[in-house]
Amino acid sequence: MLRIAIQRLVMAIPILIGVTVIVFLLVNVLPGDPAAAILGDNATPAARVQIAHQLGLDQPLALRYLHWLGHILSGNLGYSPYRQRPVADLLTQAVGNTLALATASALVGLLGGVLLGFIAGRRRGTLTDRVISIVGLSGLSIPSFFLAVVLLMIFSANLRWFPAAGTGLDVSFVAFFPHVVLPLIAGSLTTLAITTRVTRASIVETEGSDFVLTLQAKGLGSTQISRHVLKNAISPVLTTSGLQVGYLLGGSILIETIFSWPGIGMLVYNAITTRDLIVVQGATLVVALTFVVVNLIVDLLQATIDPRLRRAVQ
Amino acid sequence: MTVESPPRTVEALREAWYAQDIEVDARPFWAETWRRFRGNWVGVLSLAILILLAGSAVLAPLLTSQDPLVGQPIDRLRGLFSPGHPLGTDEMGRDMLARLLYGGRMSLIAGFLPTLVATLVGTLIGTWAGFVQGAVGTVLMRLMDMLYAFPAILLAIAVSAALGPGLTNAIVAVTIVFIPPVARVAEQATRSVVVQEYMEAARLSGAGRFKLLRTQLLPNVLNDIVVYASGLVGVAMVIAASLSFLGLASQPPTPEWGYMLEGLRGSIYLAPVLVVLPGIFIFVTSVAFNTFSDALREAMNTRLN
Amino acid sequence: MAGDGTLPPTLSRRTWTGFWKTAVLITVLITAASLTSACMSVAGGAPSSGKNGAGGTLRIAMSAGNIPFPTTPPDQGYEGYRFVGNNIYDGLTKYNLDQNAAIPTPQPALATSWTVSPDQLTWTFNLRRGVTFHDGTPFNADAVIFQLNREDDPHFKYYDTLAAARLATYLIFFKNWRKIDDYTVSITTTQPYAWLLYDLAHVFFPSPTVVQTYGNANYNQHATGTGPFIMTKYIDGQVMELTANDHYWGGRPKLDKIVLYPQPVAASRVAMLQSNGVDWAEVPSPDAINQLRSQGYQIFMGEYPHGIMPRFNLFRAPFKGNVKLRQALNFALNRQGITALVNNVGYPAKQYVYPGHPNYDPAFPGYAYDPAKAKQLLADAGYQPGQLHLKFAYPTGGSGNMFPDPMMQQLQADFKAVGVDVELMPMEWSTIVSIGLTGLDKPEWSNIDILWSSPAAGQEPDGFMLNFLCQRPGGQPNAAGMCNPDVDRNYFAASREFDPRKSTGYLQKMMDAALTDADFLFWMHDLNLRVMSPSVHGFVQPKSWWVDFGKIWVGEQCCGSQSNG
Repeated sequence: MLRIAIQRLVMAIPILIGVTVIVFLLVNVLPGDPAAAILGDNATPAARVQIAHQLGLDQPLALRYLHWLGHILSGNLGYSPYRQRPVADLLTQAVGNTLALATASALVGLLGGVLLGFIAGRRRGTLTDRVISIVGLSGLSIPSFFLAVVLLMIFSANLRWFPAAGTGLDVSFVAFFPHVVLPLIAGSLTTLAITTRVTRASIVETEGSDFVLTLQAKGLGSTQISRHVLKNAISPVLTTSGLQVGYLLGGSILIETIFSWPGIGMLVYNAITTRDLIVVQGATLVVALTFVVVNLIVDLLQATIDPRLRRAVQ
Repeated sequence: MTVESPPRTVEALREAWYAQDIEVDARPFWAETWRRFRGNWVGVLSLAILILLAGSAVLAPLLTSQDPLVGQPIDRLRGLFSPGHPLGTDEMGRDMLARLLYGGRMSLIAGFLPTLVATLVGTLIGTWAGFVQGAVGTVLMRLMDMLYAFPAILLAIAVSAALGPGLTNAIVAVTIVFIPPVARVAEQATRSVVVQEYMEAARLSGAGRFKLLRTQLLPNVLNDIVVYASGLVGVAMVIAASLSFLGLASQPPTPEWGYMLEGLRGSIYLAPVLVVLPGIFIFVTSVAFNTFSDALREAMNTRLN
Repeated sequence: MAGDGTLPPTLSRRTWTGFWKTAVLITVLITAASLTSACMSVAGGAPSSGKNGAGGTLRIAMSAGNIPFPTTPPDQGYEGYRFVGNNIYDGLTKYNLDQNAAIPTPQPALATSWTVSPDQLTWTFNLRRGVTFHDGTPFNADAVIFQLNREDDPHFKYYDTLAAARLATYLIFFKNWRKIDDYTVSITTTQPYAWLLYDLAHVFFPSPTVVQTYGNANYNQHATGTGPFIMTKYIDGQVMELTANDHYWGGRPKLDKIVLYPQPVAASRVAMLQSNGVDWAEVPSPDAINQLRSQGYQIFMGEYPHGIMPRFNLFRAPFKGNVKLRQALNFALNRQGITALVNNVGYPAKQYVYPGHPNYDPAFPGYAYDPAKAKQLLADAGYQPGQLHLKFAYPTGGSGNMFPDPMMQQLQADFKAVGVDVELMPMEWSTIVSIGLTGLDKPEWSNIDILWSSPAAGQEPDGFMLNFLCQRPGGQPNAAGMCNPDVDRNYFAASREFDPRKSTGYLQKMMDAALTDADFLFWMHDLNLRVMSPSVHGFVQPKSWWVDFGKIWVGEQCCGSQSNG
């Protein structure tokens, strides 16, 4: 088990490095002059040169990458001239909001999906199954930004049941709940749909397999059988859950922008529109690294649960 | 023609190999798949919808005489079934039907093109990596993993922002995003086929690598890839629409469903139905692709064990 | 094994039923919790209301992409001054923004009176006594000198590079400054400069104690001024709260609190207003106006010095030296078409400043839509229909830009109708700004023929310096290559003329020169659109980009559906 963990970790390192290179390249190819843009209408040429130097924009690319990497490793993600704060500060402030929304979406999506998938799988062929499958398909196909706009217009602007922007946390902790409902619905629907489908397929496949009959023949009680079924069925769900986290983190840009939810997604989008390269770098990096780590954890969890995978590695 | 269980002794294997008995015969397989597919009415319906959508997009100039790019501001935001504008007009007075039809071209291209290119490139990379394995295979897959480490939409947005606005750049972005998953599917499929007994037998029989690739490997791997790719088209379209919605892809006055949704947002008070139209089109197309992909998977679901 | 997929009978129904029941229970609980919390007032607790003509909390959705930094001066352009700068700080002078009879002019604020030396170079200001900063530090000449050094003396210990860069245009004519006694300060200019008072309205004074305690790098979280509101909460990117200053020298403002939210998307600002998340929304989508009005919201519009006046690239052909061409394009614009497009929140521009502005020349006919004349002039300029292809760079967003997308598409159609092709070059607003700072003669921007420009056309006379002058004082670049000696001559004459009537006269002559020469596309004026809930009272919309918050109060949340819970 430990061997697998170390093996996976070692394999992850080149990926992490590759991620940093990709992020750096992406962001430093952007056109436009960020120095002039920060200072606004009234800057003198001298001031612009000074800012450009401060930002280190006058050095060759490879050198900038190495400097940047060195800073990253020491926890310094840079300083955003637009927001006039260290990038790490901005990320810390934003990540909490994104985590809150992403966790809630993941919980609703995954748990709800497993639940619905169980029901659909158990009652496969019946009307319930059909209805759930159709709902799942719709949830999968509807673009999240479309749903978000529609929800906003109907339930916020029109019916006034829910607020239109923000987390509510600046007002009070309790105000969080009405604020999170609409973004949650829009954000979790795809996860819900995918998890439902995967769970259903997995349940169907597992229940139909020989080992269940074998266990029954051996005289195992129903609870123990369910446990075995669950253990076998849960594996593909785990895989997708890792991917779903990635989807939630990435798709957060759209949801957060539409609902003005001050998380990492909105941070990245604002940074892109204002050409705040340093923030784009830092935020993309953090999200990608988180995704790698999450998938690593999911991998290890799966290896723990499913011995076949362990063998496959060897 | 149904598939029989594979021979179990080495002699029988050799015999079968020379007799080409256990080779997957391409034509009857596809005919078989089509037969199965035809029986699934949902799949057929989705295919029909897709053909209808694609057809109407391609035949747009024949279906409407209105200009999708220019309109009279006086005519703006007319409702459904207005004279001359069956689906109304948008915030600039342009005919909605024309915009939706021509926009369908953009959206469908944005769906198909990245998927096609990514499938080609990804399959090449993945099958090669899965086939040769070893150091080359590992390096290739690690490279794919590096890109795969980014959540899809985030990567698409980042690449799109780096390249600049425009639908072409968005298509490039989505292509880059899709290559790693396709490569992964191809690699996994290849690896699982490679360890099958018949592959081992064929190799033992002395068949060359390339022949193995062509006759044994590709047909089996392609199944998985085709099914996967058919699901990707809808996703590509939605990602492109998302990029347009954020202003990173389609630029004015190009019609594209995601872009139209953003442009009409401010007018939601005057004409809520209009705002919803492009979204519905994206939704229906996406559902059709997903359903088609599902039906295809079921129809192709044959395994040699 | 049964191939029909039914569950083997021994996997008992009990297990699944039990599980299912628990799951349903959990789902019901969560749904109930959300709905209950939704019932608990959409705004999470209604903010305090005022009564009897005073009090209340005013929540504002700004169009800026972020909350303006509470520096001196703030960023985010004029929106920064409007909501943050003018509330937290005062200058030596302040515009009279609580009236809408005339364009606001500089009035005494932290300086109660001033005299000008006979050579017109030295101004002596008498400072207001009894004023303290929000932290208790007394305001006096030391504070003034401190800030002037901080903004204009690179060798000063507390010199703030960024702030100085933002304020640079307003300090061009400052030569030196001196403390005469605790409440008297003198400023000497580099030349006789009649508009010093306008510039001084932009120079804000922070508490020297705070700057010295926290340093410039950490100043923002502790921003302290003398103004009518005190910054009591600031979460960058999310919200800023300003609480009334009970000891304000101009009298405590009526409001108790102002809460600022950044919201760059118009549709979202309206949604926030309608869901009772804010009481005041800047620039809603024009299409929403009718519905908002019918729902009882207050719509404010009014003329003010703002316009969209794109600049021709006068460094090279086709516009350099070709007056007829520039005039032709001005006549080709269907300005009424755009007015209809934006639901009348703008109106056609005949000149650079709006009719009624002091520098508007009633005698000059100005430009209007005349496609026949446009075609004629185009031919006179030497171009057949279809011969001319132009590249027009414009922003995709940005506050103060009205509605670039539909406007540009209309312009494209208008020009095509007279035989000129326009290629649209959409860009980020910050890129457009940076082009204005580098210039269209630089290689990376030299392919642009027309550059979008949205000036505060005439808010203050020295504002014309940005777009009109051939030689800009202070070494700033001439971005579009405009070089009209009549314009420059009249401008500088106006700047030295202390008699307001004569000064205005020179500026009118300057305008005439620019108009005859058709140096800009005189396109549209904006109408300062904003919308408020019926509970906001006492607001007067001035002819300005800025606003006075002293007399506003919020009371009696009104109408709408409050049927929750």
